[in-house]
Amino acid sequence: MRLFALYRKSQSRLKIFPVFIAGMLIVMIGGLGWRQLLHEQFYAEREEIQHLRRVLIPAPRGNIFDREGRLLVGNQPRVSAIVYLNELRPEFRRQYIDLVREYQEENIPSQGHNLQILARVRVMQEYMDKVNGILGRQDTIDAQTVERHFQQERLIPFPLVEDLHPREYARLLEQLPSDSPIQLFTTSLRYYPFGSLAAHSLGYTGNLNEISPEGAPGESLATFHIPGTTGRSGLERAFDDYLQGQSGALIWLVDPSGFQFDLVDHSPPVPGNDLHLTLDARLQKIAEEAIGDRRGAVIALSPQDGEVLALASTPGYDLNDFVPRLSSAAAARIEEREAWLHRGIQGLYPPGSTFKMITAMAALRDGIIEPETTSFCHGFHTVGNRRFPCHNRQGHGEVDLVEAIRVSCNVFFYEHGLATGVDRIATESRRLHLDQPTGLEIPYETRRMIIPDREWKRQRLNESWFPGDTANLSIGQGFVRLTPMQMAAFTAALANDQSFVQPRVITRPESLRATSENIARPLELATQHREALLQGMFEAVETGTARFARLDDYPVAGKTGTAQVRRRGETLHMAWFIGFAPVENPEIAIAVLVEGMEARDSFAGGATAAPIAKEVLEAYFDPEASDILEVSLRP
Amino acid sequence: MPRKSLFQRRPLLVLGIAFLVWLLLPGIIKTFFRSSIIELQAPSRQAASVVRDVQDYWALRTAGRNTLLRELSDLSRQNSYYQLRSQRISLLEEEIKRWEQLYNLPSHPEYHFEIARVVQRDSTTWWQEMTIRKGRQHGIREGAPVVFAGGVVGRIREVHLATSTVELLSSPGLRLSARISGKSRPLGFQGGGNRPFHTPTGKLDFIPINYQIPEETEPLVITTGLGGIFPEGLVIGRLTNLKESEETLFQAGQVRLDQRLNQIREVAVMIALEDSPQPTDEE
Repeated sequence: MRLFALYRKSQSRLKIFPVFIAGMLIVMIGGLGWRQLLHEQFYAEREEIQHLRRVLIPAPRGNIFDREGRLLVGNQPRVSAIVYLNELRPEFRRQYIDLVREYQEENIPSQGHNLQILARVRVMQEYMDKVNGILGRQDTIDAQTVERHFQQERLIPFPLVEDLHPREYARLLEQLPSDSPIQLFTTSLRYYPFGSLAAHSLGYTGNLNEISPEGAPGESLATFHIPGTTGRSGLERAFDDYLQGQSGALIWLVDPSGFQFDLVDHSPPVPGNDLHLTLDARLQKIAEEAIGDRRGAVIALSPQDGEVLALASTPGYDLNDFVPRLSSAAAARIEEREAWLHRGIQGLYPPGSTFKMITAMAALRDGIIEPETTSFCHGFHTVGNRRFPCHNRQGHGEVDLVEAIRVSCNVFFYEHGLATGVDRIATESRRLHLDQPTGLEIPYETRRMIIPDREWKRQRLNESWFPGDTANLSIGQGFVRLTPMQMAAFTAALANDQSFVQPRVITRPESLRATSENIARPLELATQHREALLQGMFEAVETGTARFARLDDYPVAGKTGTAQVRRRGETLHMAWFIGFAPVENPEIAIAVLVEGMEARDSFAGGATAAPIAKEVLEAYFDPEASDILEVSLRP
Repeated sequence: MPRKSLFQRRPLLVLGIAFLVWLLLPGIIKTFFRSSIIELQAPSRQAASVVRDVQDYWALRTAGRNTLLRELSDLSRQNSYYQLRSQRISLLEEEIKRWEQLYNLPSHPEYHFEIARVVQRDSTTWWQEMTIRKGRQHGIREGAPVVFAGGVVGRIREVHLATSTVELLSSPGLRLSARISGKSRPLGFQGGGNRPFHTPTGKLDFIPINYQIPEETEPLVITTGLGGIFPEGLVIGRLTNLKESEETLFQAGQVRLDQRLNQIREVAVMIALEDSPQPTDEE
């Protein structure tokens, strides 16, 4: 009774407790509601992130075709023998228990973690031995690789043997049970049916460990990447995004250990887009074979629209050597042969006598000479107290413009080049767009070309411009440096009566083609002046310095050049030929450069470069006569 | 009232216990049981097969004299034709051997053909297999290729004393290296099942994306000989249609297998001569 009385006495204070507890309950229920109802989306996403993983699968890259639809760059399957770690977990456990028992029986101290690693390696080695048995190999499993894969890439298949030869995958396919944990896994690798053909222009790819997740579902999820490839040079690099395609994705529901539990979503990769080029594989091969082991470049393009038909740069390299990766020995070989350089668009050379065409155009445009203007060649021309020689030491006698181009008389161009002056010659060169890259779609075209003038020399060498510099410039010697592609574009422009023809290698899609609407203008050279230039070039091929480029059935206009360059204390000869055919209605313009490597290489435009041009022109006009394509498929 | 046994009172319980005991038995005992049952059944199956052969024999005995003469005449014509073919093949084989020696090429493995009658066939969706009347005592080995006049039948899956089980070409568990006739690229063939009242089919993987089936004929799919089990050039079936596979690098094709697979009475097991064990007994 006393206790009851005590309770009744303190009842008013006890009433606080139910109120307090009710308040707490309301807060709890409110909090629960707030989380469950209002923040439901947030927690659902958190849960997804925690339990879902994404595996990105690279898409096969788009193919590259030549103008006739021949495959230049494609894909080939790369087959690997793989195991999914998830499927081996029961075996890992069994092996681990066996190991623990074994160590205990033999009283060997060990850490559990080390035994787990050892167990995994033993199981993997057992599977590797199965593969070895079938293929007659003796490969072993590297513990570190297994452990790294187990810790970081457990959703990705573990490769036992990569890059299986077709004979090897045929054996595995036939001799492994279909329910074996060892499976054949295919990815795509680049494949170049013509090996080294147009290697610099097409470019190569390299491995990419983290492929682009763009367009793949599950962007917020922890992601694993199956390695893909990316363009590293040439068109492969320039149009990497276009060729790359869209990665596919596997969304896995994972267990608490992070292994596959259930496939929630699968979006297959979308292959990359195809690229169609203006190159003609047949002409390209002929150009490369014509230049052979010599260093240089051969460029053939259509004067009407600038479409590049052939763009050879030698020495080249076999693009298949880059698949799946370039070995250090192969890289050293390329380095030793100085084959990395795309001589067509990156090599800078004095244009030699081919530049006389620009000197003549400047002189004609500014009225310094007329086609009938003559000079007398004694075999040299004196500027100040220095003699500038002609290549014919006996002299050409009296020559007019056409004859000067035909025999490539230096004296005529010294004399009238000096009269024209460096400023006009430089202006004419700029009008012809020779001071800038051509804007071809292939990347890394050099921007270091030189059209020298007074300002350039003052800035670069801090020296004044001398008349001797103008004499040198008039015949394409001295400081002037141009690429073979620029000379090819200039030749096409001259053939097409334009100031510039935009070279391009892409036909489809049109949106990727190089454009030059702001640059190309009519040549605006008087008709009789242009005709005189073309007449000189025609006669050069018929009876002059470029006669080794003559074709029986088609009239060719051409100009040779032999430039000298001092390199490593030696004078090297650079042999040039530029030309187009037929003269009246040009279909093909060509520029050939052959680079002397040693002083004893007595290269000359007429004897060295013109015959190469002839081979290409013959092949262009008589396609039936030289169908020499041989496809070297991987066995 | 007679006392009921446990099985009579609780049949489902007994069945459950038996099932549980079977599940818990070690694998080796299960295998022993299974083999024992197969060996026990083998004589009755063989006997059934022999009876069928006898039936066939007596059915043929009823044929008239004229029919037999006609058959005989046909057979002699075919015999002459095949004799000529055989001579031609012998000459070609000699020629191939000579070239192989000349170029130091590894010679093709030669096979001994063990002819076997079919005892039982189960080509339903679940069990794509058949039993043949030759076994261990005839030198049959696990994994050996099995062929018939129309090409590949399958592969020996299990070998018993006097019988063997053949996994049929239509079994999804059978994979082999194949190629399309006229092409050199090795592809992957896998059995695609055998639905009732349908021709057995298979699946051809890794077909290049640019390959198209010629309009005039369905191309033959044949073995490549690269897989190490089946020799080169055995007919698998005909490629009937193509579809893009999920890998997007290849196409997958459907292969129509020989319809006779469901009615074969006799097959040949190919036993490579270099590792062929000597038969212990003749049938």
